[in-house]
Order: sequence, then C-alpha cells, then structure tokens
Amino acid sequence: MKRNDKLRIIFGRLTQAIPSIIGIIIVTFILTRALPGDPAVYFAGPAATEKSIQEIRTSLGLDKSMLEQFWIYASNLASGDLGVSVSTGLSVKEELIRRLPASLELTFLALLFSIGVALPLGIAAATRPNSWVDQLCRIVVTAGVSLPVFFTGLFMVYLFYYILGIAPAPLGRLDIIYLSPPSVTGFYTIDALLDGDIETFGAALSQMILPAITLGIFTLAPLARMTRGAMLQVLSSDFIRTARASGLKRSTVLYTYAFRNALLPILTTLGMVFSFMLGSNVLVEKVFAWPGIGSFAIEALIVSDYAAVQGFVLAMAILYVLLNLTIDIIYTLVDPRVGLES
Amino acid sequence: MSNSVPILDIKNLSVEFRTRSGVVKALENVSLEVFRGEIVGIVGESGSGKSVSALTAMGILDPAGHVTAGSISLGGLDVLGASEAVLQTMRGQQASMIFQSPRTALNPIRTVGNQIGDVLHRHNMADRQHLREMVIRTLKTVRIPDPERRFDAYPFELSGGMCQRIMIAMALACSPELLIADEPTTGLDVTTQAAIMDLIRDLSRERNMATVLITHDLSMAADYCDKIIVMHAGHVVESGSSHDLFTSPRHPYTAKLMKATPNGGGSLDDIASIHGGLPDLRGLLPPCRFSGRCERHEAICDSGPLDAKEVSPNHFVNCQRPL
Repeated sequence: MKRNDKLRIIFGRLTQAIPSIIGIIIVTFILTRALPGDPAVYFAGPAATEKSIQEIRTSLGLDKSMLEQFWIYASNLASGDLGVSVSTGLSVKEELIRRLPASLELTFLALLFSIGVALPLGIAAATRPNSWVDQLCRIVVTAGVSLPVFFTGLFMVYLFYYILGIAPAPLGRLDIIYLSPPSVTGFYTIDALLDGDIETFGAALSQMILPAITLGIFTLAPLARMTRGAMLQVLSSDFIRTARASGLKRSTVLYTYAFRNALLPILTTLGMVFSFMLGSNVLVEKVFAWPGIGSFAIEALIVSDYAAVQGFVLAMAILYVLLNLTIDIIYTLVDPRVGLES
Repeated sequence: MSNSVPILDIKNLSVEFRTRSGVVKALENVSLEVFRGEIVGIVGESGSGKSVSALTAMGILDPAGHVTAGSISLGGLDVLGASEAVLQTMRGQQASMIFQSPRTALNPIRTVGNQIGDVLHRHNMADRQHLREMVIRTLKTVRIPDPERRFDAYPFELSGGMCQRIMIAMALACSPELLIADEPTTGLDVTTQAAIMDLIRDLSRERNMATVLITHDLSMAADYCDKIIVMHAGHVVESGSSHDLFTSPRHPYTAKLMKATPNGGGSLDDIASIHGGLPDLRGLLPPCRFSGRCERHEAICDSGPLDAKEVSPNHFVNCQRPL
C-alpha cells in the first residue's frame, strides 16, 4: 500500500472516532448528574445552612437547567477548558496533564514487565505441553488472576521495603530529596534522561519498580495464557508442518513462522489489557501513593466532582481511540491480509 | 532399476498412538520400497495409515506417535536412529513433502518468495545476495508465469493451484532424491488437478527422483504411478505394478476399491460401496483387519499371522484366501 493511502486511512479512522467522542461527552455529562449526592451539600460542609448551600450551588452553576449547564460545559470544552475540579481547586486540564503521564509511565513499565515475562513463558509452555515449564505457566497464571492487587502490592512493600530494605519508600513518583526533572514528556524517567540526570532517572525508576511489578503480575495472566493458546494453535497448523518438513531450523519455525502468526491474538489481548490497566490501577496507586489518574478519578467520583469525572472519562475515551488505532496499525504491519479500511 | 538400492526402504514398521482412550495401532508391519526414478502410489481410505507412514519416514510424526518396531532407511540414512539435527538437514535436502490444501500449508503472512528463500538459505543453496535470483529460478521450474512478480505475493493472493505450484517449487528447491506428495490435488478443481499431477510426474521423471504419491483416488494412481501399494487399517494389503494390480487385483479390498471408483463410461449405479468402516484400531485386532468387512472371510483367516504372498513376480498380497 502507498504511504499516502495509509496516512489518509489513518486520518479517516480518526475522524470516524469523532461521533463516538461526542456521544461519550453527552453520556458522561448525564451520568455524572445522575450520581447520588449533591456536590453543593458536600462542599458546604456539615455545619452549612440552607442559604450557604444555595450560594455554593449558584457559584458552581448548578442552579441552571441541565441544558444550560451542558451548553456552558460544551462551549468551554470547545475552547479547551475542561473546567475546575472543585475538590482540588485546580483546573482539570492541569490535573490531567500532571497525572496522566504518571499513570501512563507506570502502565508502560508494568506492560513491559508483563510482556517480558508472559511471552517467553507462554512460548516455552506451548512448545513443551505438560512439562515443568507448562506447569509453571499454569501456576503463574492462576496466581496472577487470583492474588488481589492490593495484597501483592502490600506484600511487596512489606518484603522489599520493610524487611529487606532494598526498595525505596512507597511514597509516590520520586523521593523528596530529588527534584522532579524539567517536564517535557511528563514521564519522569524520560525527562530525567533528556536532562542528562542519571541519578534522578535511577531514583524515579526505583520508585516505579514495585508498583509496576504489582500491576504487571495481574496482567501477566491473560497475556501468558493467550500466548500459550495462540502458539499451541499455530504450532499445530499445516504450514508449521510444511516448515518442519522442509527442514527449517527449530528457531526459524518457532519465531519467524509460528510466533509471528500467534502475534495477532496476542496483540488484541495486549490492547485490552493496556486499556484495562490504565483505568483500574487505582488500587496500586493507593498502595504506593502514586499520583495517578485512577486515584484522581475515584476521589472525584466520591465527592461528585462533575468537571473532574467528565475530564477523566474524556481523556480515557481519547486514549482508547488512539490505542485502538495503534493496535490496528500494528495489525496491518504483522498480517498482510488485514486492511485498514474495514 | 529395481536392482539398485531403494531410496526409501521401510521394513516391518509398526506405529502406535497413545491417546486418552487407549493405544491406537496405526501401522502394523508395513514394508515398502521406493527406487530412484519410479512413482509409487499409496492408496487407501482415510485413516488407513498412508500419511502416518509418510510422516514417520520424514521423522515428523506427531509426538503422540511411537514407532514400536521396524526400520526406515532414507537415502542410506537410518531415520529412526538419527539425531534431530541430522534429520533436519535431511528434510528438504534429501527428501521433501508436499501436502494437501496448499493454501493452508503455506505460511499466510510471509511472501511465497521468502518462504522458498528460507528453505534455500537453510540448506545453504544460496547466499543472501543471490537468494532472490535463485528463488525466481526455482519458480520457473514449476512453470509459474511472471515469477518476478509472484515472489512478493502472499498465499492468499494466489489461487489454490498456484499455491500448490509454490509448494512443489519449495519441495524441489534443493533437488531432493525423494518427493512425497500427500494428496497433492485434494481441494483443487479438476483441470488444475491434472495440471499439478502432470507437473509432478514430469519433474520427477526429469530429475529421476523417487516419488511417493499418497491418494485415495485409485484411478489417479493408475494414471500416474508405476507401482501401487494398497493400504487398509494400518496394513499393506496388496502391492504390485499398476498394471498387475489393475488387471488382476488379488486382495478382496483392492477389488472392492476398484469397483468403488467411478470410471468415465459407467453410470453412478455401477459404483459399489464397500460396506462397513475401518475397524477400531484400539485393543485386540484379528490378524486380517479387513476380515470384518470381507465376504470371503472364513475360519482360516483368523488362524494365524498374515504374511505377504508373492502371487506373481513382484505382486504381493496379504490374504489367506486371495481372489
């Protein structure tokens, strides 16, 4: 396919996402308003009078009709204003810019860890069914799905920080003795490297290792299982028999022939796992005091912080669209039969 | 030519599959020889052990299968005793195999040129710079039009017949001494079938290869093979030259198989089906595995082990009461 065609199709796919994003904006707006609890009552505090509650309601613009409120929200959104989080007092945009990279950085590292463990494990298990590797894979998969994240997290903190003392205190992205690197990407490790500050890089990385492993153990299970299953299926297919009958080396058969074919279902799982991780790593963020987007969203939800919840959902929706597009593009690179058009 | 040493020599081969529901005796006491320059057909119903024999000869039998007796010599190499590394080098170089449904037998996400190139490179037939050139030359031998363009095609972009030509090109890329074609025309339309079979025959004659054609189609075997081996339920029941076998089949199964094969002139009513199915290959089996379906079955059939009888020169039959 020509390069221009590809770019045009990618652009087309992005424009196709616009209606769904508009839909998401409307639905989250309505749903946040359907949440139980009145933010005005909450922020007025327990000793508030009817009058002060009313004042807060007016100042938040909650006394207007739903349609009016939506109109204000939508026109602010069009000018790039996501509103102000009433619970933190900061603009939602700022919060997202600060917190999203923290979550993304953690998720990427966790994903890297889980891919690094799950793929070799799954491949080894598939090539030697019912051997000790296969049993190990089974145990890891079962443990991964059945151990709750907060438990593995606390256990790791207990073992590596409290008992062994080799991990830094689980207190966020960077120990207080370090200054956060000048923000370029928002990823502390990358920013530190760009700044040429190896020491801060090391510090940021060591803060991330435990939460990333905790998160990674959880996502390892579906990945390892899918890798094993997909490899087993591909290894029993006709073209693998052909490759073996032509005397191709075991490594060629395994990687060039089998693994590349097994990559498609693995990619699908990877996409699912990634988006799942981003939204649901609240527990890890809580255990490790990670200033991520998940804990932000939960806190906002509890106090009916409308602007914050809407901002969070919108950011996630855009991430999902980009993620799916990325996965689709990688698909076309792996499998020549897949077109971007469909 | 039959005085020389056979390229493929299988002697008294028995293979069992250990499955959850018991041991399946897939092959018992199978012997066959294929010499340079001849095309040998292995004919039989599905499940008669044709493919298992071929896969065992190539050393790529499923791990569930175990050889319990016998020997296989391929171009002088002891297949059952050789190491995996030796077998790997042998495959593709001394012996290669083509399969049915060529479209699924090729890697769907690799260009056909690269797939042939992988084989050439593996067996050191060409270095990286000349690989493309060599592949195109190989494609020309199987009469693929416009080979330069076909190099970069993926299997899904080609017709079934074209894919089978690619398979043949791949199998013959390193000029093996033995070619095993396992139902090479199944799944292709009739005109393509003939073209593929003609190609296989011409190439094996040109290169003086030993060729094994596995098929369930007796009339195809008759058209293309010098010698035919009839298998039933893991036994070789009859073997001989195509001419002898067709003019005077001696095993009741061969005779029935011929009656069950449609020929140009007859109507559908003339085709007789063979009643019953293959016996269950688990557990105890009678000496003659066809006895349950045979009208000529008598007490003597169950009496003792069955040995091949030479009923006429080079025509063998495994039957107590041959026709």
